[in-house]
Amino acid sequence: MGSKERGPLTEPMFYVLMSFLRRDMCGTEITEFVEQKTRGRVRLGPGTLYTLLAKFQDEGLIEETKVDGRKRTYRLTGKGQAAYREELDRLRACVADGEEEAR
Amino acid sequence: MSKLYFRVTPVNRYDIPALESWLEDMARRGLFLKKFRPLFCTFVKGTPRPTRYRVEPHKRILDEDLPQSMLELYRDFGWGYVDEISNSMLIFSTQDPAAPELHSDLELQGEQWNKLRRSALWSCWMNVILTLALLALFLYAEFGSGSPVLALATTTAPVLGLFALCSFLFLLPDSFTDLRHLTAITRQLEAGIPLDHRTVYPKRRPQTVIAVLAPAVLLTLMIAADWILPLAGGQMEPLDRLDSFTPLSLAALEGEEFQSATRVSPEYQSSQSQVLPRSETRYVDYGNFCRRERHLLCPNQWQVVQTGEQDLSDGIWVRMEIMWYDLPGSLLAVPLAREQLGAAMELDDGIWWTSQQPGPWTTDYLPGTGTDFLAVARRTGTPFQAAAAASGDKVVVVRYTGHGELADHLDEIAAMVRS
Repeated sequence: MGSKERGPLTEPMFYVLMSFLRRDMCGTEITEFVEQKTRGRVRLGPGTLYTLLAKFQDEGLIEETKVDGRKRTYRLTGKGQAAYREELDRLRACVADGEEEAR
Repeated sequence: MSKLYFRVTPVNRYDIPALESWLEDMARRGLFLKKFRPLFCTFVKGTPRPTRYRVEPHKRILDEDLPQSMLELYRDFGWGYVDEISNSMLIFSTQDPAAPELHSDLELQGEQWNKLRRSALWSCWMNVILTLALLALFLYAEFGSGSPVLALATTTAPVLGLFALCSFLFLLPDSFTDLRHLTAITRQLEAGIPLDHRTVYPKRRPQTVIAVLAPAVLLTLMIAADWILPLAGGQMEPLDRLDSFTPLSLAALEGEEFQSATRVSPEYQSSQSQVLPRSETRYVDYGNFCRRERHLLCPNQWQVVQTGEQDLSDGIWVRMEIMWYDLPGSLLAVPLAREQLGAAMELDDGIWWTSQQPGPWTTDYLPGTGTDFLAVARRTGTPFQAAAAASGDKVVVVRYTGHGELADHLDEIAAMVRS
């Protein structure tokens, strides 16, 4: 599993993977999604986004589906979905632990 | 086509905050980067406007294309590609104040710079190896032959030495500086501190000009020494072509009964007669010839060989060889004369024209002869003699086997080096 080699996903990584759950997306759409979803808390610069997309492609978490002029669209692979679920479970466990201690 | 403006690059290419600051200041003055070079950059004139420049690590191998998907994505965010730095970084710029900063994940950004840092570390080691290899080459060229002064005057050893020195003074410190800057960037990002985009930077970096120009000059000298100067001489010529000094004559040493011997190279005769009519064949008298050679630190060197008709006993020829050196200064003259006299006394097949003979050498040093150095040596019980003289920037070394005495011709030997 990719995340074992990579360790926990950073916040931008997690949200980029999340952006592909409902549909294929291109770079600017991913940024808009992340910004909207986090209410402006997480903003992706092109440098971060390009590095993430390249990294995810190398690890087989996403794949390019369409190149339309300058617009490149990507989708989540099965491996990417598993990585996202695993990170989600880890975060849930973190939240549960935190809430339990806070009671 | 817009007029181009050239400005000396005042910052190290890996000093990213300084580089970005300088480019932004230039844009404020209406000069926009067109082409980045470590020594000088090219700008085009435009309306002065606040412009943000950002440098991104991106290692590109040889003729690999620029990463179009990256450039397109950056363009979508308002950042235009400007130029590349040494196949390892890309420069982007924007005049849009709303364009987002390139990075929002410092850890990820740090990983990218760390890749470049590892590559710089590898380059550093390569430069250490290169410097050591140059030093080893220099030491071999200088001391490998056992005649370091002659090697200094007549081989590319001094150029190799300068290459090694240049590498030690400029190449190594430069690559350590590169590594220092990249390590600082990587550590800062790993610590979660965003990169600075404004800093003070030097006005000029004169050592960069020297670091870039010195290897080019040395390479030119190397090519001149190895490939061009040899073309200006090296052929065996008749003795009457000698025009730099009057050589000691073998006839003067041998006396009235002396007869010069003509020894034509049979190999040369045979090879030439295959392509030339016999009447046009040019023979080389390898018993009597002069040969001029030119070197960087010895622009005028002559070898003069004279041979007599009658052999001495044991097949030893009556023969004299004169090596004459015109150096650019007097510093090396006496050391060269001393060294070559010593070399002449090392009787072996490589130096003399005969097999080894027994008997010790006796050397007479003769001060007060109007030269800086004059000495005559003779091997007891043998016909082998040698002499060396130096005066000003001229040096002569004589090796002689025959019936005469070099010691009886000191004035003629000294005259060969007097201007």
